[in-house]
Amino acid sequence: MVASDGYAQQDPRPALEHADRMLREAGPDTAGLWPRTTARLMRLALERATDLYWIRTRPEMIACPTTIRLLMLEGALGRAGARRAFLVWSRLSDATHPHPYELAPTVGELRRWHNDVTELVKLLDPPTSVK
Amino acid sequence: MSGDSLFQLVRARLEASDLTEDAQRFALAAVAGEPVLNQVLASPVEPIAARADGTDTMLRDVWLRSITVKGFRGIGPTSTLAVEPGPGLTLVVGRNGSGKSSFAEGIEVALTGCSERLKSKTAEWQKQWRNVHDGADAEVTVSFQVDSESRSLIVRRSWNGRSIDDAVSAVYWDDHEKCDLPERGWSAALEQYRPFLSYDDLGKVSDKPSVGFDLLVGVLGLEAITRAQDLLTSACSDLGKTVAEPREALPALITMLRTTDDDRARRVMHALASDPLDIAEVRSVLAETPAPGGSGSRRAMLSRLASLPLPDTEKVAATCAMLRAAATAVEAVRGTDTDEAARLADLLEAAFTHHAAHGDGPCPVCRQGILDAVWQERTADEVGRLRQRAADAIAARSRLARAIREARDLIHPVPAALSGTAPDGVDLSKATSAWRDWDALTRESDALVLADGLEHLEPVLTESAGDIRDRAVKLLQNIEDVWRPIAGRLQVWMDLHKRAQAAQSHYRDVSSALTWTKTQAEQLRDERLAPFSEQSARIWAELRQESNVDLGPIAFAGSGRTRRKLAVPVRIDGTDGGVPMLSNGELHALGLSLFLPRSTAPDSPFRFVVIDDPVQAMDPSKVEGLARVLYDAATDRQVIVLTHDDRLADALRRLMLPTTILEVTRREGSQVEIVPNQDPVRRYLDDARQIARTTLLPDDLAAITVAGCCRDAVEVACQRTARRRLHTEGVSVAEVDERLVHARTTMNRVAVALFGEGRRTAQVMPTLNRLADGRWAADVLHEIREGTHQPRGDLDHIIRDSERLCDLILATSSS
Repeated sequence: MVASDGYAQQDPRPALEHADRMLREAGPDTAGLWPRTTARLMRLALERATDLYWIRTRPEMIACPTTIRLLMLEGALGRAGARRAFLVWSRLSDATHPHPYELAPTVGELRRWHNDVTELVKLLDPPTSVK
Repeated sequence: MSGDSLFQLVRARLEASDLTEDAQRFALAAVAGEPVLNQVLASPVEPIAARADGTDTMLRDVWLRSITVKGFRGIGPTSTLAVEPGPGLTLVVGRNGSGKSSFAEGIEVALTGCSERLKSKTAEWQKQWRNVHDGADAEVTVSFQVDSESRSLIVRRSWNGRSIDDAVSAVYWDDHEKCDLPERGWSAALEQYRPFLSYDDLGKVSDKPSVGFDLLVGVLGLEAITRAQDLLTSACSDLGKTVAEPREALPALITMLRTTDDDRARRVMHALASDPLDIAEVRSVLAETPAPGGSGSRRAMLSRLASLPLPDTEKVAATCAMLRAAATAVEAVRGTDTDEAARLADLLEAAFTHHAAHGDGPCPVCRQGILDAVWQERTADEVGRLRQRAADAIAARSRLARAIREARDLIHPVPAALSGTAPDGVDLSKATSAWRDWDALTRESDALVLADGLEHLEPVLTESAGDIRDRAVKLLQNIEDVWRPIAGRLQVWMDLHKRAQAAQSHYRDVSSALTWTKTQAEQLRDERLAPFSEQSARIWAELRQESNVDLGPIAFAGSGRTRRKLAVPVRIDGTDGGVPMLSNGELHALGLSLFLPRSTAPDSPFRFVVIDDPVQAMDPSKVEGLARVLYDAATDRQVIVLTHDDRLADALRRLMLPTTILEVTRREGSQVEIVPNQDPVRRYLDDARQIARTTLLPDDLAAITVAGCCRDAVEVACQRTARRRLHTEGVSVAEVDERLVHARTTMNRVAVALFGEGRRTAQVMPTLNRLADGRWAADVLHEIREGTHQPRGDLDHIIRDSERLCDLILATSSS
């Protein structure tokens, strides 16, 4: 395990990049497990971006449940943006959780969510506010 | 059942029947097929044998090995679905659009050239069969294991044009030896047994139960006898027409006969009015050349007049000449006493004898003359002259007598025809009087008078009687002109009658053969339908679950030729309802109940059946029944089920029915992957192990993902445990679903598994400590719980303990 701490450890982008690679490339390593794993990585990226935003703005929010942290993003993303973040996160959670009768998400769904998360991550971490 | 064994069965039943020998032969020949029946109808001595219909060469016990699809529908680069070629249930799960149905359609298209699903779509839709990413070389290859063959049978279809039909198929053994499927009887078998059941197929039962019959009748193996019925029906109707034809043609014939007063027409009418028909009489009427009819008939009188014995003018002239010549000759020898001349010649010859005996001497008669050589010479001439004169006179007289005789022979007595009443206003008086005069000549003995009379009367007679004769001939001619076409039509009718007579016994035998065959066909149909009906009822009983719909025994409705409808007696809440009252899900369950027995019929050469998405419209409670039905069918069949969600797989796991589950997923660019999915608990744990090993992810991401996988494994174990526990407690499936949905957190889910109730989270950790006999279970649960994003411990350790925790939870419901 890479020993890393602080900001670097919380960077949402590596998780997104790995998810993207998994969507595009087939490998003997990942046969069959990639849809759930990409969903997991994307959800992680979204959670990390959210946490980074709150650490920067209102650190006490970190104590709240994830759902609250997402829904409170109105300030950064607007009302519709916050709802979208919450929705994508819910779908990603469903995709990774074994819900009754649900199968792994399709590539189309995963790609759409990836685009959504990528955009949300950008909005939550504008270049001007980095460092 | 093959056509041949049906033939043998019918033969045996015929021998036990009370049909005539010919009827038995016709029935059997009809089962053997049209050419055989035609032959037997033509000459009923031919021995009957069942046709070789390729049954012997049929490839049987066909199992599926693999389906490889490339560039077709949802599949881009080559992807292979391999299955175990033997009995068992294989589930292929994949989300809509994952490409799983492309495998089902692929095998159908490869085998039949088209797919039911594609057929039902619009032309525009049909153009979209090539894969959008990699459709340049579209190809489907299906590999089969055929019983008693060590080689695999390969069916390959590759496309070379825009249309789905622009394709070539190749069938060969894996050593490239060619094989011909139609010759092997597969085309009909594919049609009959349809080893593919798509969602659309299952829906077909919906509004037309008679469709079900057409699909089922093939399976019952009774086409031969159904066809035999058709053949006998048509033969019977042909023969019936032949038999009825003369009777049907009779009124027209009688009408035609009435148009003439010909005596023959009357005779024929009389013969045809009698019962039975007097055919011999008609035949004799027809055989009668235009010669006498009944003596009193007009035609008889005319024909007598037509044949009046008129004298021959030339002959009369010759006879007259002869008479006159003879008379002249007789005149020439007038006065000749032929007796005296002869007596004198005799006397002189006696004198010669005397002279020869006594030599020269005086005449013994007159005593004055001398009998000597001079005398003898002179007297010899005298004797010659005497004899000549006598002969001439005799000849002349006899010639005259003969001439008179001949003349009289020329004279025919007045014909009777002239004494009657003449038909058609012919005047007989002149001819009659001429003929009387003529007749009077027979009494004339004077040759010259006779000759004069003949010569004088002959032209008179010839003119008057000849006139009558000519008129009679003309009238007769007219009658014949009218009669000839009538006779022609009568002859045609007689031929019809002859054919009808010949067909009569065939007709009787064919129609009794038909009656027998009909009864047998119905009986056989019912006999053979019974097991299918029972199987359908069993399947329905499994699938109905909480449905208020009862399915009665399926039977053929109607009778005779209309018995082509399959009655599906549906009762809703105890009242008779119809198929249209069923819900969509119930319809599909019904479809499966009807079609699965067909696809798995004992006589099908195919041991596999591919079922595409039977779960779609089914409510959760029916899925368990479906799982059992499919599992039962798989005891001796290779059942491959494609399904778009995990309900069926879940039910099979819950019922602990061993199943091979394959999961189909589709990456970007239509790359389709198939991975075995044995059990979600093991699958998530395997995922975790793979992620722990992979170099694809940095360690921190890997650790978080591993924890997620382990948590999923535990949650799936919880779900299954909860279902089993609540099921044994009698909680309904819907209620179980409800409780699971409400258990949002990992702790809630463990609580549902352990206590059937998600709110009792407080008791989870103590219970786990007790069950695990230590703290490891609670520890690992804590480690992988949601919110603990980065596990601190060793990943292998976490995975191992998660697996132990899963087993621990699962064990609480299986005791």
